[in-house]
Amino acid sequence: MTSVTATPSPVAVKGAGSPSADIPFNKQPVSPLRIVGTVVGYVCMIALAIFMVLPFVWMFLSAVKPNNEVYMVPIQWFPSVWHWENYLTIWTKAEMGLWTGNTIFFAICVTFLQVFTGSFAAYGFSKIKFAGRNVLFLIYIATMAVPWQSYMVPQYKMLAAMGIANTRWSIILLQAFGAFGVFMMKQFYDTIPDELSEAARLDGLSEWGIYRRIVLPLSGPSIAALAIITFTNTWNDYMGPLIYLRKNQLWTIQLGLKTFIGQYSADYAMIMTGSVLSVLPILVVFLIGQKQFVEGIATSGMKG
Amino acid sequence: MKYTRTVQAAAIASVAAMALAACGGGSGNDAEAVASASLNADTKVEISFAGWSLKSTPEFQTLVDAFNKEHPNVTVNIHEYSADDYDTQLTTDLSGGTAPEVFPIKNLQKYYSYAIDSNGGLADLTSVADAYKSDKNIDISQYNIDGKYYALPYRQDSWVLFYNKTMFEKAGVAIPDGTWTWDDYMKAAEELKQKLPAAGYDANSVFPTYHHNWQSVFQSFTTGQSAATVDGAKKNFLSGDYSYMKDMYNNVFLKAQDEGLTVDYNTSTSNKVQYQAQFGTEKAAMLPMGTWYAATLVSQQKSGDANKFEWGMAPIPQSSTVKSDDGKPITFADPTGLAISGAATGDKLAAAKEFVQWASGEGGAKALAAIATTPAYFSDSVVSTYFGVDGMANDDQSKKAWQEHDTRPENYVDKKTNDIQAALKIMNSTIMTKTGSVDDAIAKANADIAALK
Amino acid sequence: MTEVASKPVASPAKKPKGGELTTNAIGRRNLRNGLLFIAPNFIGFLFLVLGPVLSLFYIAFSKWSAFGMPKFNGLENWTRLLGDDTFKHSFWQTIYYALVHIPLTLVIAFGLAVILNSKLKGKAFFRTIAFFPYITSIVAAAQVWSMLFDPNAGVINQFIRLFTGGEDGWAPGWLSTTEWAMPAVIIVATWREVGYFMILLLAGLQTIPHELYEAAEVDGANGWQRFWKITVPCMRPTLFFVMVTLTIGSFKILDLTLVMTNGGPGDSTYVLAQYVYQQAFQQGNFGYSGAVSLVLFFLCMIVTIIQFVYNNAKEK
Repeated sequence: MTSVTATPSPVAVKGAGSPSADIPFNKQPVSPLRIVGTVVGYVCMIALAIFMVLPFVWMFLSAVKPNNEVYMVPIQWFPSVWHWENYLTIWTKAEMGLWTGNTIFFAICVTFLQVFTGSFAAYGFSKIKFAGRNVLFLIYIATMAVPWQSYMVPQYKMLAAMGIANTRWSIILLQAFGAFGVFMMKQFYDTIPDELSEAARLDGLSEWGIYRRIVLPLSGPSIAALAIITFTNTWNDYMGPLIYLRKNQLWTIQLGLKTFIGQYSADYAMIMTGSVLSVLPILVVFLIGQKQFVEGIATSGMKG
Repeated sequence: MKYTRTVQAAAIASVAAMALAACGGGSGNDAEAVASASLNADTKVEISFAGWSLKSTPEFQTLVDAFNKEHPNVTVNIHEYSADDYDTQLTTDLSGGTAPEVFPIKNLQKYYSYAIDSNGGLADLTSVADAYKSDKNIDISQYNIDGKYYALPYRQDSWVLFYNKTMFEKAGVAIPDGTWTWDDYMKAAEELKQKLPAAGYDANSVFPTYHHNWQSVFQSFTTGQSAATVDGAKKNFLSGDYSYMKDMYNNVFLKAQDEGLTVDYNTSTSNKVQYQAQFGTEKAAMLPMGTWYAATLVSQQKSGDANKFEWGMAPIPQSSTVKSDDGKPITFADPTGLAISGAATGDKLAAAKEFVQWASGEGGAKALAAIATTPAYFSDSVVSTYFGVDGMANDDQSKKAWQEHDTRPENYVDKKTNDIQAALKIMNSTIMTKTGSVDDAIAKANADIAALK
Repeated sequence: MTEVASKPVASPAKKPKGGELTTNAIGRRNLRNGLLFIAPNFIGFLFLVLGPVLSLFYIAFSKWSAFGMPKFNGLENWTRLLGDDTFKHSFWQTIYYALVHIPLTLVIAFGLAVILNSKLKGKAFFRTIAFFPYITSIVAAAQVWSMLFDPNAGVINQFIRLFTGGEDGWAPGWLSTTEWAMPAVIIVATWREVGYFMILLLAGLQTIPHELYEAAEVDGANGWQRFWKITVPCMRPTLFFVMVTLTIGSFKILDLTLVMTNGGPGDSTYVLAQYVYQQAFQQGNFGYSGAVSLVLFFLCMIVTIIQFVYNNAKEK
């Protein structure tokens, strides 16, 4: 409880020093109170950061433990023997390389399709006023409200009858056309003033032209956010591959790591090793994506 | 308006999905089709076979290799499933008509649903079962639904009491003698609690015994030992009145955790305690567990994951009032069976039938026993193969405990089994976490089950 | 931006531009263009998602074990729902979870997004850290949190006891009691999802033109006023998206309760989605399970439509 409720406190602290410190482009003279506030704020942020990464640290340490020490009563943070070689054996003992390759393939294909078709459809929903638009859009959102477990089987039957189950296509098709990307991009496009597209339309620009030259250049952060999230979700998805893939050659990391769990026992150290390795590519994508979050991208040519 | 057309299109798509849904499932092999299928030794046949976690579960590959030696014309391809979510995968497979020709039935909980609800998803194996009905070395009765069989067992584990001989001897406590009741068990545990610290074991982290956090630990002995015959036990299980479980909760399971004889249930669940680590690293001197653990213990002692100590298997403690009709100790465990897809036909069906029949019989049993896996077929040569495994306990009591028992199912096959187990699971969690009294929890389970149709 | 969502058809049609384009022609052109843009996604969506989802509306009114065809049985599943205590219990547990988890997550995520969008030094580092819980294995997260939540030795209770009277002071039993198990789950869920929603809100914050703030500053608005007059209205589409996905996600919560408590102790963290899964894949009652998920669906849709209407009203 402590960690979570502590979160807003930097806001409060900063607010005390200077009520508008959080708003960009705010330039006020530095007061001693503000310095104290900043220091306290940083201390809180760092304390919070520790809570945020604690489970990851445990995961990292467990990855190099002997298997029987992963879950101990009472909990033991450091291994009795450091098994650094776990990071090597996982590549030979299991098909980690193959799984990683598959997961990268799925994540890239799905992210590309989701971002591409999603931003396209979102433009249609956001900037073109056509009949039935709201109803269609609500239908999109509505499908998100249905738990997947309850239509998983009919969906599987359909794809199995089409001969797509147990192929790479099943995972790509399954993930790429969800409502999430359309919904998200549409909401971001709504924040771009309509005056821009209206003006361009009067100037004779085609819809494609408006999308390509006006809307797309403004949507860097939102595309980055969608890409990060789609990539992460596809990367970590377990149920989809579980239901659709029965050939080891097609497996993803999440599914593959499950082979370390037997009917009555499990190799938890290896699972943790795999989980740590599996986080690294997501971090790379995140770091690339977050470069897009640069202040001031949304200034060009707009007057509120 | 255009969107009405869109909605129409969507409606058509959904109808199409439902129509496609209809073509899943098996063609429904009846008993004759299976009975008349016979395998020609010259025809090359390929069949697929489901297994889980192949790296940590060598039994599937072992079966296939041994079968292949006797039937070189049959190629068996193993498809790898998840050990955890096997039933979810199998359900979608059977539903979509993509199940492999042969697949395991992991326990009896969903057996009824697969056999009956799937309406032909599983082939009728009664003709194969006939070969084993009067065979004393194997018990296939748990798969009997109204005289028909849809699966045959290839593994029949049973729950025994594992004990650490070294710890008992160091503490100066008498090891289980094969006649223990639950009272004797509790007395021994209390004695160990007193004497283990003096023998050099850490009083805070070493316990006399370990009760793992599975529902079956706290309920299935009780139900199994509630009647002299399996039919009586089944009747109790289906009766809808679970007050017969009260004494065991109070006198054994709750008492053991109150007195600190075992890691308590809350700690065990929230820390995901591994029973292999508790017993294998000498944090517990006793462990009620299924015989599958023997193979794990042998391999962990070899690899160094478990300490080196002397251990044995004893019959599970018995009720002091109810004795089995056949005089053997009553324990429990579901068999693991093999079933054949209702969609298999022709040579594939014949090969699948041959494979299942072989795996349940002595051929399959010997192959499994050689890797310390408990098979369903217990002939003398199978027993000597099993106890010939290097590192296996091989005192007479262990042999007897492994081989001679009146094993009751964990899940009594009935259409209400699933619902009952779900209600009993909540009851167990309430009692063992002490978030409700034993009486209230039982009353709630009784009411929940009475509310079922 | 404002009239887009609320008045879809009429507004452009009322003032035809130029001589040759009639109202109808514009409508037709917009329809054609709109559908062209939507098509690549919609075709996949229609067959792969919408079709199977619609089949659920039939399954929920039938008896189905996942094998063969569902058998229509009218309102049988629905009358059974009315008398089903487990359903009612899990329904209220889900509401409880959602009511606490949604505002908590939203406020913290928004706060974090605003802070990490300011001129804070090292914000890239903190953004990455905030995203960590979302990518940490859920099993590892559950394990460490149950250690932190340990009623006696856990860091959290040791901290609480500083204020409640030292060693013997009162502290919650967290995961080992029926009353505190759900709050514990909510805390972990919030911890896990805050970074995720922070990313979405951050992307929304970035689309607000700076000129707006500059103009407001010229007009003499203070920070608080600027937050409510500029940040919140400009963020409304993003907030709507975050609110809806957060709501839907909260009502469908499953993986965390499965790993942390598996519905226990007793049935204190047993939520609707677990009941859906249990009825379908463990009990083989796909029809009944379908009815339960439709309840979940209607619940989500009611909240979503309220937000949709409110949002549209606010925008105009």
